[in-house]
Amino acid sequence: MDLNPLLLPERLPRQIIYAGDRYCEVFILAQKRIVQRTRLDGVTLAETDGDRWPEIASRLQPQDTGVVLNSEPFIFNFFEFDRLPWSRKLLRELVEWKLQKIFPENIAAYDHQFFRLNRKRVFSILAKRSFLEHLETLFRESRIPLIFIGSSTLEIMNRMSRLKTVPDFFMEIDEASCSLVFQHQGRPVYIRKFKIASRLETAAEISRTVQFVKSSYGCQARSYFIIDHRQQDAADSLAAELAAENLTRLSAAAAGKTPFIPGSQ
Amino acid sequence: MKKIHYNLARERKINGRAFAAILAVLLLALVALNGVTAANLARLHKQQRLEENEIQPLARKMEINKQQMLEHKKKIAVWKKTWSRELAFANSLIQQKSFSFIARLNFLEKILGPGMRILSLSIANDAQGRVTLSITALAQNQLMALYKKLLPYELVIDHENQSRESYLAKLSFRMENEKK
Repeated sequence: MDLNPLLLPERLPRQIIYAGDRYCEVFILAQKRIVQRTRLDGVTLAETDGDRWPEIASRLQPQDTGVVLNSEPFIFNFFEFDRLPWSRKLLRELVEWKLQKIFPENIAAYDHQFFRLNRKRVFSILAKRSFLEHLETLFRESRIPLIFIGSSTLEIMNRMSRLKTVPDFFMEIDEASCSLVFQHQGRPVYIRKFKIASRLETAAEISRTVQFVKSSYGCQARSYFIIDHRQQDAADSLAAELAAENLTRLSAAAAGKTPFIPGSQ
Repeated sequence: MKKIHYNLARERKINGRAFAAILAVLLLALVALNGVTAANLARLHKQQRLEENEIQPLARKMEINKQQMLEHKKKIAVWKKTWSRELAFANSLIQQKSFSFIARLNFLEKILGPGMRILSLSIANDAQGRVTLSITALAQNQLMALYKKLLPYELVIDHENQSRESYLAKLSFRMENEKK
C-alpha cells in the first residue's frame, strides 16, 4: 500500500477540463459541486491541435486545474503472475518484462504505472510521455497550475468502488469511442476500448466482449452501468438493444451525474 | 476495492486541511496511546506500592528472624565451646579414673624373670602414662629377654651398667589403660 496518498492527500483541482472525443468540457467546481460546465466542440488537447488551446485557456481561471482524459490516450493491460514480489522495484521489473513481450513500441516513450489488484494480478496503464509533456507545457505557458492529470475510466472505477450495488461491467461512451470495464468482486478484470460506429454494431461488439469475458475469465456479466458523455437518448436506444442479450442496465445515478470528475458529487 | 490513485501531473499540491486532519488524528492517537501508557504505568505503580506495603512487614519480620538466628548461632557457639571444655574435662577425669596401678604392677610381675629385682619404680597417672623403673639382673640375657617383652610398649632404655655380680638398667615404657 502506498503511504503517500494516505498521509499526504493531494488537493483536488477547482476547475477541470474533460478531454473527450473531438471536444473539451470545462467544469468549475465549488464545494464539491459543479457550478459551471462549458462544452467546447471541435477543440481537443491533442498535440496536433495546439492552436485551439487559447480557446480553452480563455475559459480557465489562474487557479489549480486538472485534466481528465477519456480512455483514448491510455493503454490498459492486466497481467497475471503466479505470485507477486513484495518489492516494488522487483515488481516493476517483472511487469515491464511482461509488457515488453506484448507491447511492440518503446516503453521508455510511455509513462508506465501499475497497481497491485490482488496477490497475482497487476493493472498496468501506459500514457504517452510526449502528450503529457505537451499538456504540462500548455499550462505552464498560460501560467495556470496543472495539479491533476487523470483518467475518466479510473475515476469512474474509483467512484463505483464506493457503491453498495456494483454492476458486472460499465461502459463509458464518448462521441467516437467506447470503453468496457468488467469487474469481478470489485476489481477490474478486463478493459476493452473500441471505436463506435452504428448503434447495432456497438451493441454487437459489447455482446461479443461479454461472451469473451465469460469464456476467458469465467465472469458472467448480466448488469451494467452506462456513463455516456453524449445525449441521453443514444444510451437508451443502446440499452434497448442490449436488453435482448439479457443484459440489464442499472441506474448509474448513485455514482453521480459526473462520476468521471474527481471531487464532484 | 482499494482506490486506484492515478495522477500524472508533476506539480501536485498537498491538501492542507486533509493533511492537518490526518496529522491531528495521528497526534490524537499518539496522545491517546501516551495516555493509555501513563494510565497503565500508574496502575502498575499503584499495584507495586500495594505489594510493597504487603511485603514490608514480612521483610521486617524476616530481618528480625535473621537477627534472632544470628544471636542463636552465637549462643550455640558459646555453648559449644563451654560444652567442649566440660566434655574434655570429663573425658580426662574418666581417663584418670580408668588408670590402673594394679594392672601395671601385675604386668611387671608377669614379665620379670627370676633373679631380677626392681630397685625403683615410678608410675605417673597423666597423659604420657609412662612407667619408669630401675632393675638389676644376674645375667645379661635376662635383661635381653625383658627388653624383648617390652618392645611393643614403646621401650626406652636410659642407661645400662655392669657391676661385679649383676647388671643394672634404667628404662621406661608406656602402657595403655585397660578398655572396659
